Amino acid sequence: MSSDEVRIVKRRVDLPQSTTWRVYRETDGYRALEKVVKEMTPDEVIETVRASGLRGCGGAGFPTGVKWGFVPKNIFPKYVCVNADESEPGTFKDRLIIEKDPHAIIEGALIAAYAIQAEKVFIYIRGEFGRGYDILQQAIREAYQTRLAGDQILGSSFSCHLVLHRGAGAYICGEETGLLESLEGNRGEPRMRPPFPAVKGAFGQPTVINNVETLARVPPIILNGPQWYRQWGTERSPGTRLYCVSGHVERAGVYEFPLGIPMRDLIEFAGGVSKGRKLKALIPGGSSAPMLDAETAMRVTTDFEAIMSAGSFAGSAGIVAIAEGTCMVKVALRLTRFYMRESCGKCTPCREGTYWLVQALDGFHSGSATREDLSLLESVGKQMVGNCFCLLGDTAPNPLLSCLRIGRDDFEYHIAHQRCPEEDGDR
Amino acid sequence: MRERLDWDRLVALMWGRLEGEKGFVPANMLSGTTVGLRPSAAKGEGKTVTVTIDGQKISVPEGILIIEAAKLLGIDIPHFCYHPRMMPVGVCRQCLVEVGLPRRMPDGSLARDESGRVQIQWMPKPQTSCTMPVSDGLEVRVKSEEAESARRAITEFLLINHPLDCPVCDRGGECPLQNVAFVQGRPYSRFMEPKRTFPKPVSLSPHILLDRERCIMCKRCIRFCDELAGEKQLEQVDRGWWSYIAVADGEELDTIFSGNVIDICPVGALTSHPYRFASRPWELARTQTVCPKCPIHCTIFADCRFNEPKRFVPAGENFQVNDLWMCDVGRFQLKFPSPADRITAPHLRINGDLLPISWDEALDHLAAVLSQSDRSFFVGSAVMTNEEAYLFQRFARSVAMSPNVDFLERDPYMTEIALKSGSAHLGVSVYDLQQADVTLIAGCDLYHHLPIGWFWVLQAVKFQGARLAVVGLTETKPRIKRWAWKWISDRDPQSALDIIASEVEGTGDSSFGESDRELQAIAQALKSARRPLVLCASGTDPSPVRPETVLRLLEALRRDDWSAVFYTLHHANEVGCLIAGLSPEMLPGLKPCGDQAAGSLLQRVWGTPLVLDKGIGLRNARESGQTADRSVLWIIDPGTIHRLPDWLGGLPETRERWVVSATHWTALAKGAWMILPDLTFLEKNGTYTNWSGLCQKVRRAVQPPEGVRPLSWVLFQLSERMGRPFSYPGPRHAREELVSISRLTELLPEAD
Repeated sequence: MSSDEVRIVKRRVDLPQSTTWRVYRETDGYRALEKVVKEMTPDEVIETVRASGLRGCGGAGFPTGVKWGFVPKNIFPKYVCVNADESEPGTFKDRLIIEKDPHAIIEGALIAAYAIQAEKVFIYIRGEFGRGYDILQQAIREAYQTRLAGDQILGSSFSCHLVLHRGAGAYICGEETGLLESLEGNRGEPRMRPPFPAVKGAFGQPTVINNVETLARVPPIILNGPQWYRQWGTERSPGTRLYCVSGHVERAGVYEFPLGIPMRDLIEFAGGVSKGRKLKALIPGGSSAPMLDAETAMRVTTDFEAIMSAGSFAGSAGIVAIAEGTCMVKVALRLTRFYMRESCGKCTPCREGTYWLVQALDGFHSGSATREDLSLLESVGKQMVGNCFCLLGDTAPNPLLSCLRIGRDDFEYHIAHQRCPEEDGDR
Repeated sequence: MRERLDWDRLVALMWGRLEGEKGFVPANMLSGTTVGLRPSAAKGEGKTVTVTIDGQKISVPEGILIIEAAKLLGIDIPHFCYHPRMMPVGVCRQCLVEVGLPRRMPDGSLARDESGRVQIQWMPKPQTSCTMPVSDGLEVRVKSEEAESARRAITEFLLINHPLDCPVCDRGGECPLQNVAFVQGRPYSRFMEPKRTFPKPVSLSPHILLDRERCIMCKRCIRFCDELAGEKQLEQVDRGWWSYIAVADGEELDTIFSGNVIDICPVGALTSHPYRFASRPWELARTQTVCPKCPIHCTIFADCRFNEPKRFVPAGENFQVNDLWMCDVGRFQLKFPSPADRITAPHLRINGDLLPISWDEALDHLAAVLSQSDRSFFVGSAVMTNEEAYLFQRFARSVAMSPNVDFLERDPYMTEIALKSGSAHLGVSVYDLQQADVTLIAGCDLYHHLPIGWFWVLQAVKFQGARLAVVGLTETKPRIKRWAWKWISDRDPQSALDIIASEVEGTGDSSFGESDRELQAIAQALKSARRPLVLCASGTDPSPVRPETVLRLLEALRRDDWSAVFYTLHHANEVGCLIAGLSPEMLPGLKPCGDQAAGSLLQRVWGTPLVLDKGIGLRNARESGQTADRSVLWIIDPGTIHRLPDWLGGLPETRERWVVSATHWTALAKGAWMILPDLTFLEKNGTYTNWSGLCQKVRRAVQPPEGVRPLSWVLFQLSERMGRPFSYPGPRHAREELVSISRLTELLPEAD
């Protein structure tokens, strides 16, 4: 059925010089902003986005219009933060937009700023995105030069400034309150909620924090209307999404499809599981989402609700295929080590738990693990879930717990043979 | 099967045998393990909500936290990062509980089941009870299986990297983590891998050591420095399991309140350098007394082992002085002579040498010499208790018949202001300084001289939005300056206060110069303030403010329930000594010398004639020319004078009649004609009166060495030998007499 992509966010990525203001402008760029500041009230903008059913593409899938609606009307100044700190393993969609269509982010952010009447947009970009940083900076310069940002945008009474802030390479700063702390110059750590950022965010002021992809979707929705956007996707998950397909597939990449297409089609579009192997497990929404076993993965559709009912979450749509023959101990160790290194150290279970899990998994890898360690791993992992300060810790044991569920044989093989099944190559 | 210990039994097991000994309180009571209500919790304006915790219903003020509501029901939820005086952060996760809120219908009404009971919507995961405020109808499960297993999980996580060195840890025995581990930890460890290690211990300052292996990252120390001490000097450095607490490179933890981080550390990560390996907590005899380092008089515990003071810690929850805190001066610089250095017998200079003599010889000799002159000088010091000061001046005025009464640290300006205003202290309690809305500091370094006073002023600035103006002060490091709303360092305090006083009184010259505009703004702020606070440099400060100016401001800024214009004082019991009459110009109760009514009252109460005249202060002794005769100079040595002041050194002709009451061989003692051994502060019983007139008990914490007698005994013995005997059964009787004479009830100690 879905043999072709539906390109809404991706439509400019293949154009030559797509990052320039000229190309962006020639392809309907900044028309939505023009429409917004000249013809619409802030409330109408929020209502349009709400009606479109656009959901946040960063991971949580919270309805964007509703989020904007939470911002108090009478407190100033207000801010918009663009979360460009994409660092979830298996997720690389924002990078594509940043590097290929930076003006879409700027336009979306300015529309969001208009909707909540914010005076400043902070774009928090991941420290490792050196190229993206240069491109965004150039785009911001162009926006200022063409009076699309700054004072009295497009001759209206609306003024909004753009600030590009570069992170220092911490996964936790992709968590929205961690991002705010880092932006304010503090140690990057999640903040306590409530108060929510919509009420008390950056520098103590009401703040909307949106993902890059989410904001890039706003201009087309404004131009074409909410019903246009709803022609794709499901009732509760309308529109399209950028799927980052990677792992054991023939053609890894970022593909834009309507929400709710079958996962099987998506894998096939990416060329299927590599070298004709069978699927063993699938990460449906970035590495912190629980993995699906092959059977479920081939059954499930890609909308938020379907993945949720399959026991995982759609997250950042970072889809990682894991083929038969992969040792799940290796997968668990690799992913858990990432969470150990990225744990900020604020709360106990995440700081100590990830360390413990990696130590124990190392035991499997090095061949010193015993049968008791198997139940220990499971017990320690479960002790973390739900007890942590933020989602990083709560979801950090997910890869391990999934690997234990799907690839228990591999763990047993390690215990029995003190070596990795992959090395033996008999499987 | 292993029996699970419950909390009460554990406490009884660990400390029960110490009951009846000197009131030992485990120090974890200080570190906020006891749950108190945060001052901020009173925000709810008397509104109460009903919550159910483990099936028990209780009405509590709106806005308090679940952990605090549980405490009110007697349910202790273990915790580490929560501290009753700091903002909740919820990082240690030890206080997880199950929380449910009443389910509401779409129309906002409460959802009920068939039997009419309100349905509870339980949250999907456990919540930290230290971060969730209570709300009406809230239900909490503390002892449910899910909540308990969550908390046990956290305890296990906390312990995996925590070293098992309790037997050599200073905190062992009074350690919150140890307690929690006892109550709900596993009897064995499931963590077999190598623990995380750090180089240790690290010196954060000359006083404080950090053991990073023991640290559980509750961040209390970071938050204390940032939120309460106002100097963010500590931070968690690096990330994840290898993160650690540190000060910035090349810096040290030098806030004057740094020692408090030791008290609030829930493990043995932060320890005191002087107390390191000095004692086990259960070997300490604990005595509540006050700190004699400044006139704030923080209530402290003197913890002594084998009759030797080992450490000084805040006694906790004193809502008139220091609450849970104290400064580093009291904590680390309160030093007492070792037994070897003590003077334990009277000495007399014979042929140039100071030789020990018996008490009888000394007293006989001194009585004879004192009887020869009625011009002797009696010089006390501010380390004396109220009672000692009172007895000393009574002895001088009614036994030795000399009006020359004084104390070493007496500030003539203080005497003047006490005589004129009838009060020798600040009109509000030290703790209440945090209610001041506009504060003016004129020429005195509050931070270094009255640290806890500064602490409360700072709280007002930080949390109540109070404005702070500072005049005539220079700082090497901006401790006060960074909080100042106005900072004028190029004016001397006297001229600045003159202008401010005129402006406040409305008699100001309207032709202000440009440089005076700022002063004018300060004056206007003070004038319109609800609770203005003005602290002026006293005679001990480099550039003092004259009493007339202070009095003008005192009058102009008096409010119905608030009067806070005063000098900053520097010495321990300055206020008490003045009130007790240890001054050549004042009788007990701040009455001027020569006051006939006061005189006849004293004569009636004492039952002897006395000298009512104005005497000669020590500073004027030389000019008076009255030192040439055979008069005695009796000095109570505070033990802190390392070099004789010029005005004291200028009295060489009297040195042959110098009597020094000293605890050890000080500069004063070495030059004396006669030495009388004296008690140290820790060996006395009595009272001290603080900067704001609060009288608190000083208690004997250690037994004095053989042969050392209290000053009161010496005075009673001498009075008998000189034919005008007087005595009191105990300090309380002297104090009560002083109260009845002076009608100054502030001399009654606040708490027993």
